[in-house]
Amino acid sequence: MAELAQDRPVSWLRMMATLLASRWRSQMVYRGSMIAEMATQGFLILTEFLELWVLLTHAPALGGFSLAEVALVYFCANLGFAIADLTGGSLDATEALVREGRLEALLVRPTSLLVQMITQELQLRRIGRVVVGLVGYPLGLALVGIDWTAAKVLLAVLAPLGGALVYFSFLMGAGGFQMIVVGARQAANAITYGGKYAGGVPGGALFTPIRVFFTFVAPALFTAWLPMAWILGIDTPAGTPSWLGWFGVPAGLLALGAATIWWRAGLRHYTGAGG
Amino acid sequence: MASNHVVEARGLSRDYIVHEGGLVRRTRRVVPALVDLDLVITAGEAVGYLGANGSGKSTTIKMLSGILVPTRGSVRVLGHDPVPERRHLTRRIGVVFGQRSQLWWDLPLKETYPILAAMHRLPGSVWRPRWDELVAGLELEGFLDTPVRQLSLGQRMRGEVAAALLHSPELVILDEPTIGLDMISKENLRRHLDEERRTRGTTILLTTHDLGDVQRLCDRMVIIDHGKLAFDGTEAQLAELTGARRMMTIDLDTPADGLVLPRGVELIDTEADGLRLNLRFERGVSAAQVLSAVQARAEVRDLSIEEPAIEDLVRHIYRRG
Repeated sequence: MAELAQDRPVSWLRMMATLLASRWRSQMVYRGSMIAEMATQGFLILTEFLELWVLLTHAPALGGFSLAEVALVYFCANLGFAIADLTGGSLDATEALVREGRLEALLVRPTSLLVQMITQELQLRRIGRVVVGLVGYPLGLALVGIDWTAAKVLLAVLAPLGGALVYFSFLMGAGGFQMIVVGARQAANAITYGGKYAGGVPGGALFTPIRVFFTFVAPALFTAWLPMAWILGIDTPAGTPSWLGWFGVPAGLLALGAATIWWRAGLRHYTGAGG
Repeated sequence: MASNHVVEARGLSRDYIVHEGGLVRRTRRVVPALVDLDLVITAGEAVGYLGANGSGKSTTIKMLSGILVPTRGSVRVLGHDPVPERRHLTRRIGVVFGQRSQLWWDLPLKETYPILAAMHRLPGSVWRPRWDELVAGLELEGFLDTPVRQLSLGQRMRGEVAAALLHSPELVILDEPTIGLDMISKENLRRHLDEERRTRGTTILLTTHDLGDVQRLCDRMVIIDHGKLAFDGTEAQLAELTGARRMMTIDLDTPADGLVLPRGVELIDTEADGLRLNLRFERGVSAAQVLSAVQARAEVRDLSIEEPAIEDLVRHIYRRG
């Protein structure tokens, strides 16, 4: 049992640690299935990449990127997504909480709904994806042969962090949407998973309106393609210059702000409509 | 708001919007779930909130606990406006949803409490003594190490009540807490809630279908029917209002020939060749009056008095509505 400080009021960090530790113990109850799932999740990323690999064996370049460069974009985007999914992956299942009435039980506690959902539904099996990303992304960076500078190193570190922010925002926005339109989980997830797919390929290969949408509306292309294009020195189509790759984190923060508004609107709608 | 008002609702109303039909011919219908509820609960009261399914009980509870916005009217709970101040309010109230668990499903029961204490930011010096008290009072000791998913319904419900009481709330709202419990579990739970109220002055608001809960725990009943307040008062007042009559069964040594009964007393039937009388009498007539009328004619061996069943009284209110 977690020991709480005897006398001083419990800090927010202490509370988070207690919540996360409880989640860890909950998942350890099903140790075997969790390890199997972790492995499956990691394996899934690799099989998803097969699709791109098959495509590239027939066309040597995709949106101006070679096979190794496409792999780099793919693993960079996936690392960002994996981090977001690890923390916010449960938000896209808000609908189930609404349907089963479990949301009400969370709302009568003094901790924010978002914190409760992140900590209570944290799925350790998703670590499998993070691990594959953590191996695949640096490997990709090493293999494509980059002429490294300090700026390139910095951007290479920032890119998956910006990606994590962007994808977390998508998940949170989808969660908010599901509180408003129950039964619309698929529609809500279209941006999340569509964005994840678009973010994992060179944006130059995308149809222009889609490229513009996933840059300036749902900023998925900030998560890998734009920063990698800048690092690799590859030209990008007009309107989406590669220096935009530096704006992954700000774009992520902006998206997070928008997602927060959506989430609150969802919660307000839920309390307004009565579930 | 008076300082001892724990709940104060004025004209509290809630409508639900129901959409019907397909994509093209879609109609929008407003369904009132609660209409103009005036309800004041003062500190330390125990109120039974009764109503048939769909009468508006849960709607009321959701509005009091800040998870549903009222359509009209106003409500204050412990001085808070529940929805905008929901998180402040949750620190001062405890809510038990009979059907929705507050416990951590996969963990042993005892692990729930440090987590909830952390959420309430309670230091160990505050929550541990309280927890010990709840473990003893609700007799949780025997299954603290059992994962919640393996608990029986009665055990889980005691765990739920402990979870709702851990932060020593001033108001406890219980939504159907005894549903599906056996007699012993019910009694255990009722006894603890009653003790909690007597020793700490905790205000209790209880929705239930089980009138036994109300009789055992509450000194006041509020009945809603079709979203409207149908009755607010004590059990005796309810009996008075519904004109409920008491029953008296009298066993005699010899038949009471030429029996003259006072006004408001009715002989329903006789048994055992007139040696047992079944009588029904109104509120205004005392049992002593009935007895002396019978004693004037025959020797009384034994008697029993039956109060009107609360179920019948409530049913009467529903019918009236």
